[in-house]
Amino acid sequence: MQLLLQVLIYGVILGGVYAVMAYGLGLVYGVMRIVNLAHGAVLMLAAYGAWALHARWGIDPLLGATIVVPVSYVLGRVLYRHVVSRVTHGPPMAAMLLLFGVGLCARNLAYLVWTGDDRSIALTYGLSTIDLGVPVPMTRVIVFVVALATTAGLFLVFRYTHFGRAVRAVARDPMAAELAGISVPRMSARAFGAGTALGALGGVLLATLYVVNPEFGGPFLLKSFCIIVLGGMDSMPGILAGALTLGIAETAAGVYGGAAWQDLVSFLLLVVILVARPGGLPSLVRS
Amino acid sequence: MNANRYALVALVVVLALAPVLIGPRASYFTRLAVIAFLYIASATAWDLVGGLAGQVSFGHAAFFGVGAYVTAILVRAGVPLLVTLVPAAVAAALYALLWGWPCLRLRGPFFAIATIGVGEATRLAALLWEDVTGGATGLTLPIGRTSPLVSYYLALALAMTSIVVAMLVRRSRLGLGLACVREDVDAAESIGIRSGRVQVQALMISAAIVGVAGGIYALYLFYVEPGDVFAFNRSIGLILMAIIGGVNSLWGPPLGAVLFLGLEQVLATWFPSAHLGIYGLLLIVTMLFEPRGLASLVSRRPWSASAGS
Repeated sequence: MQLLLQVLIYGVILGGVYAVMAYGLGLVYGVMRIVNLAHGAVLMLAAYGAWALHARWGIDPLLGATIVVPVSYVLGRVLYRHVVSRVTHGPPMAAMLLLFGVGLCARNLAYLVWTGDDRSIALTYGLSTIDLGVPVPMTRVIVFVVALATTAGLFLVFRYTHFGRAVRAVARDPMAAELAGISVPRMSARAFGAGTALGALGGVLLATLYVVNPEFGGPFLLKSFCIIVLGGMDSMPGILAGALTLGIAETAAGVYGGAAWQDLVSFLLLVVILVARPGGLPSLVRS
Repeated sequence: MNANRYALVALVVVLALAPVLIGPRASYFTRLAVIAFLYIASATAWDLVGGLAGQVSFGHAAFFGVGAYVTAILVRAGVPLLVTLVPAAVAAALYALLWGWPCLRLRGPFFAIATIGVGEATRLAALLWEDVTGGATGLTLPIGRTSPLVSYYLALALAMTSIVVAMLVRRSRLGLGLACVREDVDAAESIGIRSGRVQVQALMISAAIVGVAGGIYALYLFYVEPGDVFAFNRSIGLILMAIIGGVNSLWGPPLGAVLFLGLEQVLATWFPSAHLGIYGLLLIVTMLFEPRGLASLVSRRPWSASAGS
């Protein structure tokens, strides 16, 4: 019983972080129908950013995020405006392969700058725990709170701001959005920037939980994709549900099956859901 | 066309005689050539799925690894060398059937990412299944049972086979069906092409060739290890070869394979720490300026009005 509780609590916390990491991928897919294969690299670079700020100036990762996230927004927007947008009207896979190339460059950059060694952020409050039925490290609780705040913030942005409504309009029907006076290329660039920024925030949060190395992004890219597929590709509540499902499933696999299974879960879940329920979790509710 | 054909036959004859002509100094040449032939065979096979069928696979290393392991295990069990390549092809094709049948219902980015998952899951499974695969330490083959020359001719034969198969597939009903499905699934289905079925067939043919390539690689190296034969970088390499050379063309992938090998050698010698970035840049530049690869530059003759676009 204790073990089950532990699996649930740790799983939900992990799921919350996963949700933040996956929103960016979901946003970019929803608006532009591009699967951003550089998303893993974004997570990785942001994680290194947080690590570097902490290692050099002792800046807390959450404070560091206020620097890393806006920078990522600008970089993402520039990348889309000047590179990605050139191929969006080409062959369907061009943008995806191009972004994969960007990811390779970023990984190489990380090797050159930070070498292949594992880096970790040691926080002073990392060792203290909170008792939620089972002892939970302070870092995880804080990270989960940030994830919840991000989710709530996104919900408000999509619902009540011009940017949010415009992005949803473009996602629904680009031509109609254009007719209604929304600049689709501009909104796409902003959405790509926002997606990159969300990925960066996810990367910072993950950096507080895991060691960082240049290969950091790969597994999380797959997990993010697994989550947005579970979530039915473009709905925010869907992504949250998908992230929680994956978080709990992975934690359970880790506890009951062993660490090796933990990595296999997302792949298996991904293939099974793609094949059996391409609509993801929402299609279970609807049908 | 006929002149081309004679030129090709001449090329094959020269390649077949090359190790004999070069003589004792041939060892570096044969080693490089074995890898070149395996790349040519695999890239051409990849293009049947990634180009002709339009389904970009990030998971072909799985077939390479399955073939390599089947061969390695059978050789260790005492099966004659050449015979082991047949089960390697069959196993790889069956593995393609196993996951291709469900995954090929997906299209575009969905299929691509599913193949990343399959490739990585295969690698992890191979690492975990230590009784059969030897885990991270891998399997060693009894040394000295093949000379490099045997690998050379096997690899040459496979490269030729692969190109001939690609040529035949492109001309066949299957190839036309694949092209139809690539352009428009619904239209293809409406004229009676079973989209899932033709794509699975293409994937199985492709997998069988890549599986044999893996088997020859195992015979050539005397050693297989999951981190090498199932490496994600192998799948990426195949994508790069086909894309740099020119997707969905007969001569693009072989051209790309040779260029990629050359690049790989140069990078390994002079820029060992920059190879990922260079590959990435190549991918970006190709996508930005010539998404159909170098083959389209070659075939685009300046005097032909219909070329270009």
